Amino acid sequence: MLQRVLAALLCLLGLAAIGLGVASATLWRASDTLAASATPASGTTMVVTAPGVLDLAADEVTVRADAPGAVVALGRTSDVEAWVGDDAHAVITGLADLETLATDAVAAVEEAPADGEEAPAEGEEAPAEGEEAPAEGEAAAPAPAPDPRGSDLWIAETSGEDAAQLTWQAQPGRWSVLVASTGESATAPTVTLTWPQEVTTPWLLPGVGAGAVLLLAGLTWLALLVLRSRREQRGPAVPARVPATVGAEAASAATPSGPHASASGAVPLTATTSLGTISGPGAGAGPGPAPGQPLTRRQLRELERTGQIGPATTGSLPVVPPAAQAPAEDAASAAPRATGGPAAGAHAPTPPSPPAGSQRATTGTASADAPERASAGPALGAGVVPAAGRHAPPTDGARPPVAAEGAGERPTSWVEAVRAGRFPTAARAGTERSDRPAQAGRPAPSDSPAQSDSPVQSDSPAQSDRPSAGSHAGSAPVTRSATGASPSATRPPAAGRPPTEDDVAPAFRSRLAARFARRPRPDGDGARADAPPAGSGPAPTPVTPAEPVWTPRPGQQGAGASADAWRRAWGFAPGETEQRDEKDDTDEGGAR
Amino acid sequence: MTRTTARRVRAALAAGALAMVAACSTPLPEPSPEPAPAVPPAAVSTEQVERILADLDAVLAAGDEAEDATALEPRIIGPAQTIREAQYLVGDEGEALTTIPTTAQTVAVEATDAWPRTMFLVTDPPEDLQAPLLLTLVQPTPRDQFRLWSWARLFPGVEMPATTQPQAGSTPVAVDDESLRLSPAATLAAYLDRLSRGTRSEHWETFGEDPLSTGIFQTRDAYRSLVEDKGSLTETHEALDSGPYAIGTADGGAIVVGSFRTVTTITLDDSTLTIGDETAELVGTDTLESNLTLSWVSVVAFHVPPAGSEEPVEVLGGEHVRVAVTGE
Repeated sequence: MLQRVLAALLCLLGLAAIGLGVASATLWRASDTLAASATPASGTTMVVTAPGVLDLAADEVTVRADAPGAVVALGRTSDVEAWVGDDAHAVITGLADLETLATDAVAAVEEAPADGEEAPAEGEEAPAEGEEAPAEGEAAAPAPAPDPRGSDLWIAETSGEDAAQLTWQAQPGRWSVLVASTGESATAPTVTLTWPQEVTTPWLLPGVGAGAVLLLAGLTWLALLVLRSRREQRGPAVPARVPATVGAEAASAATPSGPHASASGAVPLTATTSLGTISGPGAGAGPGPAPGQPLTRRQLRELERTGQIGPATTGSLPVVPPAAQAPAEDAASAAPRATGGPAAGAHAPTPPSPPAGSQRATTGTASADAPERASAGPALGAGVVPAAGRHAPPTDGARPPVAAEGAGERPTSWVEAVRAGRFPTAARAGTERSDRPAQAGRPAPSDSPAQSDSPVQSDSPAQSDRPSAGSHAGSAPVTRSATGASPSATRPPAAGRPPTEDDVAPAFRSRLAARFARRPRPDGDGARADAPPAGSGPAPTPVTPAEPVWTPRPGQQGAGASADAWRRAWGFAPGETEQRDEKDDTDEGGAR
Repeated sequence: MTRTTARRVRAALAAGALAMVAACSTPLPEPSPEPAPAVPPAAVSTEQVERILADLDAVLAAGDEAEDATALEPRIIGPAQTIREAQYLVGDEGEALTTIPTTAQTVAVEATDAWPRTMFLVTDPPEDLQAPLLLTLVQPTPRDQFRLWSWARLFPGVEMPATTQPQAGSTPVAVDDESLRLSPAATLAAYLDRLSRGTRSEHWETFGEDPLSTGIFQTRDAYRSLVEDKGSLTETHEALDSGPYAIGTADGGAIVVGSFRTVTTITLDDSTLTIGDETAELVGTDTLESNLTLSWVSVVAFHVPPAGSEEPVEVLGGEHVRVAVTGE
């Protein structure tokens, strides 16, 4: 825990560092310009800058004057000072702060009026005016403000009615600006000096870099922690291949298990039906499947729990590969659930037809999902599948389409169903269609185990397995059908095993009916429709239903879920089941 | 381990934040002006010269258009204005207006930060194939403009003394500057003395022979020959109030431009004097019975060698225009 907290903290710090780094270059980024202004005391119509002020902060400066008859003139400092002469003016000496210019007021040098008159006598109007102003006193009747416009002294000048602006590039030497307000309404001009600033973002890269490192470190740490904890939860890993053998065995067992099938078939049915009630019947059925020679149910459960079962189906694996591993897991989980009902019998199918898997696989990329589902379907449907399988065995080819369809349509419903824990439904569906349920049930068990195995086996390969499983199931059924079920393979198969069917069937049917109604696909017909191509029309039907079941599960349902299914199937105490299962039960009950 | 790491990270972040804050509190920039140069730069830049000449050209054109000397006020003063005014009066009857090119081939400006300021420039040769003019522009005070004070035709064969590049500026020369063989004021005075006294002047040898003085002498002799014994002729040469202006040259000497007024008065004794067309036009009659007063305004430009030099003062150019004639 502490480590997780620390890891999270690390992530937070990383984010904070990144945030600060970015903020330093955006929110807190310094202004691109340094602008400072000042307005001299009233009565002063001229403002000059001290040498060095213009290039105070940058080589380029923009001088703006706001005043009536604004004039901005630039010249050598000596010229500017000479022009201003003895008149009152303000001198900008530098920055008071980042927004204000420091100014010094320079009072006019008062001279005797005579002097003022002498000046004009010399024939110079401008100076005359300038000197008259002080002579007459600043308070009374101010003389026209000195007008610097047009002087030969200026290197550059601008003027405007209310404002003037001048931009200047620094040059060697001492330069000053004369800002003046001219005309009758001359007032103290507001002078604004603006320098462009080179804004650097020294913290952006370091901040983001360090932050990214911290964040990555934190995330990695967290990931490691999570992984570790998961491993711990799963417990010791069992070699994947073991299951393979198991699967094989199961498969082999499956065939023979015909009898069990019935038992199992019943079980699954019950299981399905029972979703609500299931556990009870499942328990009863459980024993039947047990025969699945090699593996004990416990073993199977354990395997499922561990999720180690998988490899068994190895052969089939190749087909599905495309499907994401995740799905595999899902499938695996699904499988188990499926197994819940069908699982019991499922194994058998698996071994039979890898080709089927391939076919499906080939079916289409799209099928990737579909196939899986399809494959899954069979597994889930195991109970159902079996029926299909039996009927269908030949239909392997046909199934795929069904699966596809089922996958297409059902996805949602299926998925929901699956998630909801309706697997049973699927199973039921399968069962329903077929009165075959019984058969289905049987085969299913065998199939399902196989499938279950496959799913189990693969955390990843599972998918591939499943498909194969599905195919196998299909094929398997064939064999079976050939065996005994085949004749009944068609829907009749149910008939073949009427009792079971009956037992199971009624309940299933009702449920199935309900679900079918929900689903676009009408009962067996729709299924059959799909199936028909198979030739063993009936077979397909079952398949479809079965497929849906598998397909649906996108989300990984924990090994636990599958385990629960198993438990139920095998009649273990419901108490062990997870909450989900319970919910499923209720849902199903509702469905009924 | 993780704890210490976290602490370190925290510390690093804190340090970073502090550094950021510190970075924000950059000290205010202070003005760092260049020190005032020991030698002032050229008072007028090339751009300013061009601007001034363009303005001069505009004012001159306006004045010529209106033939109104007062319109020249903004840019033309002193002898230039006087001479131009006389030329306006003579109008079509008299000599054509002096063509004043306003493009310069050579500019001499002072390196100074004081006033008055002076600028000499040699114009490009006028279109009428007259000699280039040496223009003198002066700026008495900071709030004055540079105004054309005089122009002088450069004499044939005259070579303008070298001056410093206008970008650097030339040495200002005061009217009474003693670093020259003769100060500008003394130079002008000497020249006038020479005009008045001729070979009897102690400065006769100070100046080389020049077309201006020669012309003045010839004119005087002509009138004198007219008057003969029938009356008397007096002639005075007087420097104007303004000027002379001078700018140092590369050889340590100076170019000096002065202006003076020449007044020739003829008094008749019981006789009449018949005068030529132009003069008659000005006077209003071609037969004078008592007296005749002729006024000329002249501009003369010298190259004064530095002190200690035995070189004669060279007269670079001049202008001599009759500005008034009265008689009865």
